[in-house]
Amino acid sequence: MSKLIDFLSKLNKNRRNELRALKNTGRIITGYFCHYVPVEIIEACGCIPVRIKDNLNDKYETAGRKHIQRDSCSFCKAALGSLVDNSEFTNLVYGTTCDQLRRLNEHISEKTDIDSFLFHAPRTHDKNSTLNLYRDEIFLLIEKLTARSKTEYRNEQLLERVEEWNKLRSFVNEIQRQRIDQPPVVTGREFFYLLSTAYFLGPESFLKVSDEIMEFIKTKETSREPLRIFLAGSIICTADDHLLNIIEEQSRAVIVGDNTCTGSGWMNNPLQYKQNIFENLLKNQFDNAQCPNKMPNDSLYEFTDKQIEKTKPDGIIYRSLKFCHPWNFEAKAFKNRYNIPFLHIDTDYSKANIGQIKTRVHAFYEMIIARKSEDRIK
Amino acid sequence: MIKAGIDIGSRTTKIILLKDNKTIYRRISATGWKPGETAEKIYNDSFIETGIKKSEIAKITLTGYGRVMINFADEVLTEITCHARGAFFEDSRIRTVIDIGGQDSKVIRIDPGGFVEDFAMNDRCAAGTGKFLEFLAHTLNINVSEFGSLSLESVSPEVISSMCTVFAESEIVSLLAEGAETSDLVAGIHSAISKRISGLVDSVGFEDKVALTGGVALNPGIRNNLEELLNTKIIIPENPEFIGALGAALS
Amino acid sequence: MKTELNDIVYKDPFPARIGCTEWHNLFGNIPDEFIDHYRYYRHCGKNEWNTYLYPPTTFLIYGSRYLRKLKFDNSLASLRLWGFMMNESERLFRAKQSGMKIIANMGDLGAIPPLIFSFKDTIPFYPDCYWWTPFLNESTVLFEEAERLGIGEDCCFVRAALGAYSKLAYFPEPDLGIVATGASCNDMNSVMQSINRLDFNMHWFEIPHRRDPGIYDSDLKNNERDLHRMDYQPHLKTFVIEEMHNLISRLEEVTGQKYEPDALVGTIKKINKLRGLVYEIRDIAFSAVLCPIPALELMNLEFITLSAYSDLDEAIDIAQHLKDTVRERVKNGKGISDNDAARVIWITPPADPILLNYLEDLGGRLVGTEFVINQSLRLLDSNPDPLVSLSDGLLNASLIGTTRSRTKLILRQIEKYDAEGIIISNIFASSHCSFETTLIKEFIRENYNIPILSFDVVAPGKKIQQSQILNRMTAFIETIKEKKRS
Repeated sequence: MSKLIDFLSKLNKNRRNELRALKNTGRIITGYFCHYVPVEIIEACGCIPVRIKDNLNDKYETAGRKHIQRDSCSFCKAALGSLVDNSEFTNLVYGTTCDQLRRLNEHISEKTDIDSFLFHAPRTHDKNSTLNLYRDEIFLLIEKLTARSKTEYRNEQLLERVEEWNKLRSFVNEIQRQRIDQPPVVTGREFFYLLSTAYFLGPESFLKVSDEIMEFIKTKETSREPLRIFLAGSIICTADDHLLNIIEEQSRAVIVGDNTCTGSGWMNNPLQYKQNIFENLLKNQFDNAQCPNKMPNDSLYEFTDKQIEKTKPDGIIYRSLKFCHPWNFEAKAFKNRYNIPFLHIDTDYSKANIGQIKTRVHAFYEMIIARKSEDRIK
Repeated sequence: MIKAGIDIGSRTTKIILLKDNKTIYRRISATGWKPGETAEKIYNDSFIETGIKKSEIAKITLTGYGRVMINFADEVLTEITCHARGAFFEDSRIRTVIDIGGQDSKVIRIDPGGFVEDFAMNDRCAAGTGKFLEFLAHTLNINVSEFGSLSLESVSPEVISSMCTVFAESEIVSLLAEGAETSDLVAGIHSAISKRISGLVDSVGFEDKVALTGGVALNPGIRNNLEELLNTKIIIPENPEFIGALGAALS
Repeated sequence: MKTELNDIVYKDPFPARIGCTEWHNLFGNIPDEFIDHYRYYRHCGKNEWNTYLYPPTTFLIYGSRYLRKLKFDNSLASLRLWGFMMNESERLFRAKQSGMKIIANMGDLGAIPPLIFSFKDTIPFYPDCYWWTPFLNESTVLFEEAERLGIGEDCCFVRAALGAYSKLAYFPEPDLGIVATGASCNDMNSVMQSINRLDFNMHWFEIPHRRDPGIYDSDLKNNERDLHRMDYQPHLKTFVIEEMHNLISRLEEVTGQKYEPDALVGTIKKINKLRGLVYEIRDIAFSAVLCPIPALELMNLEFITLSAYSDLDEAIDIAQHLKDTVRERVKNGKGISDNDAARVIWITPPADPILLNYLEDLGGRLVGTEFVINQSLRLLDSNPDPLVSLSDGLLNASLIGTTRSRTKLILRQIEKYDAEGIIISNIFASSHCSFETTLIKEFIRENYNIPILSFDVVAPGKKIQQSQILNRMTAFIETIKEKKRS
């Protein structure tokens, strides 16, 4: 059991209560699925950004199937199931980088009281036309959010928010660096949860506990050399807890790097500009977002190359959610690209699959360990 | 030095005792509803039948789907690692192992050192497993042990398009009603499984020599089909159902 | 219906749906002059190779084995349509051999072919339609090739396009492939991404999501022609026009020619002629008491609007011939459906063509469709800047907005053509079907209490599952007929 995770869990619980109270005072809690819209902009519109991923589980996936047919992504089903169940959020915006997520928007609109806004996130990134469209869409979004929050958008506020989030990013990046130590001091599960918590709490609240977090990390007992695993693929959320537990079971292995959009792909580097903050923020997001929906998706591979080089994994576990087409159909290309042991798991949130996942992961580890000892003998 | 390997499969449990890497004992029995108890019994029976004392066993390794239920093992390994080891031990030319078990099937590629290089599994449904054969043999009222050789008597195999056992059964019933020959139907069933397996092989690629292990290895129809599809000669190691237990014991 | 060529007349038999063998025999009655006359790429003159009027058995022999199970309309015009459509592969190879440029253009981009046609000796074709090739050829070879390249059963049948590109057996290497991204299916995008990895020349065209300005569109009851109009926000047009300019630069590079707005105005007029004819045929057919032309031919006709099966002039001629045939049949009170046939609207084109045959076999008939290609059905507006017309066309695509707006296209047809039932044929694992089907049903039921049947189209060769679909369709048509009788 992780003391760090217990600590973060308490913070999350408090924050949920806080958000309920804030909502009751009329604050607009804006849920989002995809981080194409910088959180700083949502905040500069007087709204509170919350990424929808941390209340999901297999039961919600089943609930979602009442509305969306089974041959659809588990994340979408679980998200819909969760949103129909509770209305923590009063407004919704999300990038439409994936066709299923954007279609989810209409279901949310029809099945809940949540007000939703369909936002077009660019897919092609080598032309000004799409950057212009992205900008137009953001303007429309700002209009919508400020109308709801009854505030005015100001660039000065954006700058202030960017500075605060930069502090948070620097801190989290520091922790991310410690994932690649040998042995790693932060597990994958801890890092995903920490990152989620950081975004959930926001810079001011999260950085207040930064010393305590560092203390947990410094005093953590690390096991002998675990296997270093790189996790690639579809979005990771709370419904994947059992998967992360299997992968990092008994500290046999640690996820030292990943290219998921709720892990390393969520972290931008701190923005350095002070001038033209709006334009630069947009351009930064436009140029650096990593997503298999970017067409063509060369930059995803470049990003992954860099992460693999940095984290030096012993093996890659590539997890695609069932019916997550953008990731599932890239698995073979990923496998062929890296000369590292590779395991592809295609799964949903159902706990019935646990035995099958375990067999594959264990066999994969046995394979890596045997290879490593063979190399040592050579 | 005596080592023990137990492979607790979904249908059958197998044990092998090795003395200085030579098999001195092997047994197979139905796993039944309580794999833990079956494994313990088969283990204890081995001492009774060989006269060996438990204290002489240097190491006991478990594998198979029931491996997680037992707590008296020194080591627990997956069937992938064990089938690779067992097959390579029997014949070090083997580079690809196709294991078609009762409820799952797998393809494992091995490097020249006998280590697993890559693998693919199908354990989501009966398609491409022994279960498919068993179910349909039952439908046609044919003994499973004769199923394979009957398929070889076919002159003009029927095409069975469904890999779902339920739909395949319906297809067979309607083909029978249309007057299809039993041997042609059986050949069609074998062809359907083999095609499925060859799809699994494609996902990891194969290298000669190829070996077939697991209970279904004893089926000449499957071997024949796979040899045609892969255009290569397939090795069936001795006692193919025991390869997993052998690999476990060798660990 | 009589077709006259110089002084030679061919008279269609009494309208019926017939099989391959019957057509083979009937073909003997068609004068050679007709076979000699109907040609593609007429500008190439009369060669040994550019005829296309053949009986279905010819294409059966060349590999489309499924044709022996299908039923066809027995008019000369329909035979032309079939031959023309089935011949497209050969046509594309001939085009390349004759030095023309061939441009693969995804179905989502149904507004782009006029632009491609506006360049001299440049023709568009629709590569994703190879999703129906495995059915026609009763072969899973294209699916197996796609699986080998990393895309398996968990993808819509459109993955056959990946197999087709990889094997280059159904079309020669395109000089350019135009791919839609943005508001387009995930599976199609993944397929195109994999094709991109095979090093084909590709251009990515981004389509924005149509965020409908309000919940309700303008009232179109008075404007019958615009059965297919959808509303959208104006700033999206600016973006699409910019994307067009990007595409034009690429086309200029590939063809070595300069873009001519006047040429585009010309091809828009021609495409509108084709679309107008198709609109009229559908309107006549759906309104008639006896359906004058079968559902399968109507689907083939609808798809001609995408890229004219790569020969615009001949496509227009065929459509005109079909219109004359259909009008004549209606005038004479003839058709291929029963008197009391169940009036059905079909949503999403079935990759398995036999399903449309089943509709009529079971006593149903088509009175409307929403085959995801609204962007190529609607007439393009005339505008001094033809790119504005095209971008408006693109923004009227079926799948780029909400399901509610797509359902409006269906509701208008239910009302206009007095539909009695709806069939929705889903494709397993296609990213829009799993989300749209439940909503389409709900939205229709808000307005009409009519039976709705939905099912997944099964892969080629799955006899049991196909018979299950037949069972469901039988029960569905029976339900409608029982209701009618009571």
